[in-house]
Amino acid sequence: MGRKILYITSDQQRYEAFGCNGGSIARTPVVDALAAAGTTYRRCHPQSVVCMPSRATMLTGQHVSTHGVWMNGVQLPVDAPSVAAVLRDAGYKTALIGKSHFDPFVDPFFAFPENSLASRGQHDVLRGFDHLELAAHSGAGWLHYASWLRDNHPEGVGMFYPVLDAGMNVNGLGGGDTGAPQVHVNQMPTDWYHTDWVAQRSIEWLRSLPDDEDWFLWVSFPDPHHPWDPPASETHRVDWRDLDLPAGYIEDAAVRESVIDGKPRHWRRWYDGTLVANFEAPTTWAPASLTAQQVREVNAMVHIENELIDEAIGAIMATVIGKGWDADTDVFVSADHGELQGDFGLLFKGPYHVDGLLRVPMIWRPAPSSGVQVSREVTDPVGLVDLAPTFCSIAGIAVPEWMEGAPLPATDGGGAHQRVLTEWDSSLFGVEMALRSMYRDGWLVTAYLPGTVHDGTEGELYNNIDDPLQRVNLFDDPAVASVKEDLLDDMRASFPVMVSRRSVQAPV
Amino acid sequence: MAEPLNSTHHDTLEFAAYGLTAPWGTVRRHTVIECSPEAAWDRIADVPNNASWFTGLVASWCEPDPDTDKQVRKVTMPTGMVMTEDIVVVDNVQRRLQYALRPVSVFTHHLATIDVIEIPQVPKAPQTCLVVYSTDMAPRPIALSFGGAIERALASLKSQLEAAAAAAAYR
Repeated sequence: MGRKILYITSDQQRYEAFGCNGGSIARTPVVDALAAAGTTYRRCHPQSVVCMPSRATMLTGQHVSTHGVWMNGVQLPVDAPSVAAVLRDAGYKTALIGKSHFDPFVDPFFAFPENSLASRGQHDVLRGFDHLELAAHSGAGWLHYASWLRDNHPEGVGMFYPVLDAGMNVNGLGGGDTGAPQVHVNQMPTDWYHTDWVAQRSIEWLRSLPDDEDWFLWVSFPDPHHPWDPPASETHRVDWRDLDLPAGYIEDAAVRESVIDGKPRHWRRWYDGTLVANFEAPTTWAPASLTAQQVREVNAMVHIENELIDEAIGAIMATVIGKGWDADTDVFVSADHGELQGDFGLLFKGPYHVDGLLRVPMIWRPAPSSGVQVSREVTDPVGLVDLAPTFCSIAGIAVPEWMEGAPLPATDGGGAHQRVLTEWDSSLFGVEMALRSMYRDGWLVTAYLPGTVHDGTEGELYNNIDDPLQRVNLFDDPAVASVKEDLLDDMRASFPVMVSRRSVQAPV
Repeated sequence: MAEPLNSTHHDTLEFAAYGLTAPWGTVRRHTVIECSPEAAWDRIADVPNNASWFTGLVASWCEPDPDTDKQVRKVTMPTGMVMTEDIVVVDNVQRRLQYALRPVSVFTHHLATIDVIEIPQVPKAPQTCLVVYSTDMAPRPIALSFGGAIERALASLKSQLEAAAAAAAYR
């Protein structure tokens, strides 16, 4: 028997979601215990801050420019390189339960295989997974969770917040106590909710395996991605009225707007509601209207969803322990990207490469039987691109040449993790934008390529040591010009060249 | 680093003064096919048999519309939904077909245009033509999904026509 791999991800979850990362609201004892027994990475970035490109990186171990899923709505080809396929070929049983999003969701022609699995009653081998049971953020659509909900609790389908409005744009409708967008009181019982469903299906799959099986299970929770509509029975956990405002939110509007005005122009345009550059945010809502109370309520909902995720992980870990596998199981906890969650007066995500979106949890609890010694924390920058090579390393498989990351370091200072890269490209009805970012030595630099909003001279530069909330853009500061040029040169040399851009096949 | 997306900078807001009030999304796809424009046009103008090359459609046919007594095209989607299309332009001279989906379900507006454009033949090279397929659709986001479907359809059309052209050349 070899080491088993339990890979747990959430969707659109910030670094400080868990207590081990400084979170002080959501109670997350399970993840905190995993971190205490392993390591937590203090600087892990996704290679894209939206779902489909980031998830493609997780599966392929490649940067966005290489795997080619350059924005949401671009499919990862079914024959793309896959760490799941590598592990499967090495004898692992492989499963993905929860949100995959390698195929576009909006699919009226049923062109993409993930969307027709459930209706065909199948859990086919796809992209290297022996078993897929898929879920999204609601009861709508064609995935396994939606199908299960329709078949077993049809009244539950309409209990979720409608993610899209009648115009099929991300809904700006407000709810809850404060009218915050995408907040909703969901009357659904907790055991119908997708977090619970993902945990239960994962447990069932684990129970189905022989005791001596080697396995790779990707548990992919759709939360805490908006809509923020946890079951009403759970909202007692965190009262938004009791919350302090998050550090990233600037309460004084004049100061907030001054900070935003120090950043490239699309920041202010999104804030004012004059430019929505990407599909991932409502077109009918302007962040300038966001109130402090709404920020509190959104954050409260997120904390509740994070607690539910932690409890679900606890249930899965109990199964792992019950099967006698705990000593041989490596556990990872991470997320595909972050959420602005009130930072700079903004919500959701988009072409904004700051910590709210860039910094995600990354926790690795090595299999106790492996003898791998890890530091309590690692500060060297790492990326989601490093996960696939890590899985190969755990399985005793040579890291394929097509993977671009390197196995996660057990301690600082190994030399293989000096910088982490993130890229953004989008093209939506005549609005094109492209960002390239790098974090190194405590600096975060972003260059804007020419598009329809930027002329190619703009950028962002933050000294994360002195300015951890990234409020002062130093890109045009002559005092750090040499630092900027060094970082930009390094970044240009480090990014892979985008081979080709496949067509966008759906909005998301 | 990747090449710039757009070498000519146009600030999106420069155009906002025009209003840009279209409630629909507009997308365009194209393909170059190694066949004569007549051959490409013959397939596209074969209105009832759209499903033979438009990948993703389960079936297509024409029938009289009970209200107007004109022929309309019916197409069956993979979900089983049958949609009705009015054929609004069939221009054999320009080689242009336009059709409009009648509002159904969430689809509130649609106009599609397919143009077949002759490419001057280079001596000793195969004859080629350009097929340009554009669609305006509301809700706006769904235009992107139809854009993807159009791209797959054009790939299918290209494959079929080039296979036929190659077979004809072989004979």
